[in-house]
Amino acid sequence: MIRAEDVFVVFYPNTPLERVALRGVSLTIQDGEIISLVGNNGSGRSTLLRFFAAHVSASVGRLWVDKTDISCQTISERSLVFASVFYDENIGTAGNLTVLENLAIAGLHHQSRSVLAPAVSKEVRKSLLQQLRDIDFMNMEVLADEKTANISKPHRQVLAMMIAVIKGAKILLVDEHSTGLDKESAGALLRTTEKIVRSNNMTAIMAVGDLKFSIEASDRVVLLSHGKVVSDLKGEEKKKFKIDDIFATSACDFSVSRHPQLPIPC
Amino acid sequence: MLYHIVNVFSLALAFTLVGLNVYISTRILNVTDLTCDASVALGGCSYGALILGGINPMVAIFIAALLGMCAGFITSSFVSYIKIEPVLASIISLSALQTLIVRLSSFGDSIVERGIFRKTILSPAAGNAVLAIIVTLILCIFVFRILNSEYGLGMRVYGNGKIISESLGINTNRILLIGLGIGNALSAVAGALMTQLTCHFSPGMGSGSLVFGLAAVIIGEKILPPKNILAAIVGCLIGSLIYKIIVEVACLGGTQDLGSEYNNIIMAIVLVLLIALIQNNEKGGTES
Repeated sequence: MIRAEDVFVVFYPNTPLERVALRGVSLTIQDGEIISLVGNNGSGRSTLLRFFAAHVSASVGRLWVDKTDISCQTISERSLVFASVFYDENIGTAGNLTVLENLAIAGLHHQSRSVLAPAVSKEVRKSLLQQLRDIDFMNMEVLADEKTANISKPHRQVLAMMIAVIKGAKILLVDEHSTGLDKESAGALLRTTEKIVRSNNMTAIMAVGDLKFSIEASDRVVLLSHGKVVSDLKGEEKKKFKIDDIFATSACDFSVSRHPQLPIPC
Repeated sequence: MLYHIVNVFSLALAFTLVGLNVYISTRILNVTDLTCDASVALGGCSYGALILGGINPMVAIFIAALLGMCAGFITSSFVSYIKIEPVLASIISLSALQTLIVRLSSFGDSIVERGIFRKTILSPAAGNAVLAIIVTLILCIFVFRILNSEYGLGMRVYGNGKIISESLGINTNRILLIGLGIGNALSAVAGALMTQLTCHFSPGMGSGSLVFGLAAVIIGEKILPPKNILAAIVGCLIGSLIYKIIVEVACLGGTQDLGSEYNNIIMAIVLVLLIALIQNNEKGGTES
């Protein structure tokens, strides 16, 4: 279970450029849930996801996973629980390494890496190739020895999700990972995302461009507006939710609004 | 003449190590580390001073390597812990180390009298060549083993950015420390070999070595596309030999007419011409 409590994220605080991206978001997410974050551009979806992964730090607010307070943990520590698959594929995969090397280093996550052992031993190679075959995504296995920077975006995003599975992260953060792809690839990528999350009993928090798919595939829809949660729908209520409801919330609000000066968590 | 050729060949081998330093810092870790000029001079001067003090040459090379490693540690701790930009951090440590280098070179400037191969059956040139070949090959194999290990995988991830490195559970500060430490130790060994080969050392001996290392890497990458680590290291070796030969031929005329102080400008011009030649012949997609 993840619990975010009263999260404020302010960029450039106390300057003329001040921008409040999240204004008191509280959210409780059960294990195994797929959550669809929806909202207009500028509503704070990406910021919320980046806050979970510790890419941005909150001015105020706490974050718990199960019973542990992880508010003050760094990217490295949070990566044990969270894995990010973002629009920028360089956040989820290492471009300089081959596909297999990426998977191999994910297997050594937070373990001591030996100076003597070869990077990808024969047995590891065999099992990783099998995993690439099992994922069954656009002939991924033939790219095993390609440099990751040279393979296409959907492959890189699937690789990022495989890294998440191998390193044992239980919560997948997805932010516009299929944006910019053609319809077929985007569809295949979204279906694979759902398959990976469901088959590994992961929790997923997604903000994806394909709203129809996103709402259908998810268990719960959370609508954000101006950095606040405006509606949180499950089950029957979710079925009634229409995409037009998102656009009914007004577009970006750039007005500077001060928030109460609360103690900084870290 | 033969003596000269053997010596040039040995020097080129020694400079392969500087090439490997540049390869580790720019291609693997993706940081601009300029400390290498100082490390070469530090290694060379400390080796010279130690030999004059009567220390065993192998021990002296080892101590020079340790000093070079410390130089790398200084730069990387500036970057990791004080958050100084790599270029600035290396310039700061480079100029600070200059004091140490000048102090070391005050012990003398020539080890001709104590040349370690004076009294053996090998001629000095052959002895030096054997030493250069052995040390360079051992260190090349060492770098190859490190970069191809699980640990090296972590080092290679570092070059892709901080977020991905940390989310793969890599201690970025330690990786930079070890990476720049190993790199500058290699440069220091190159400096020590340089002192051994030329029998002279001075505070200015490191200047231009960064250019040399960069040239070795660039030429190596063109001749042998770096598909894997082995290709990159062999490419570095070949690049270093080729560049040394070109520079030597270019300087041969220059030194007679102009004097040896023109060597650095000749080296730079040769490098720019080579890069111009390489860039203009590039076809097809280029990687960013």
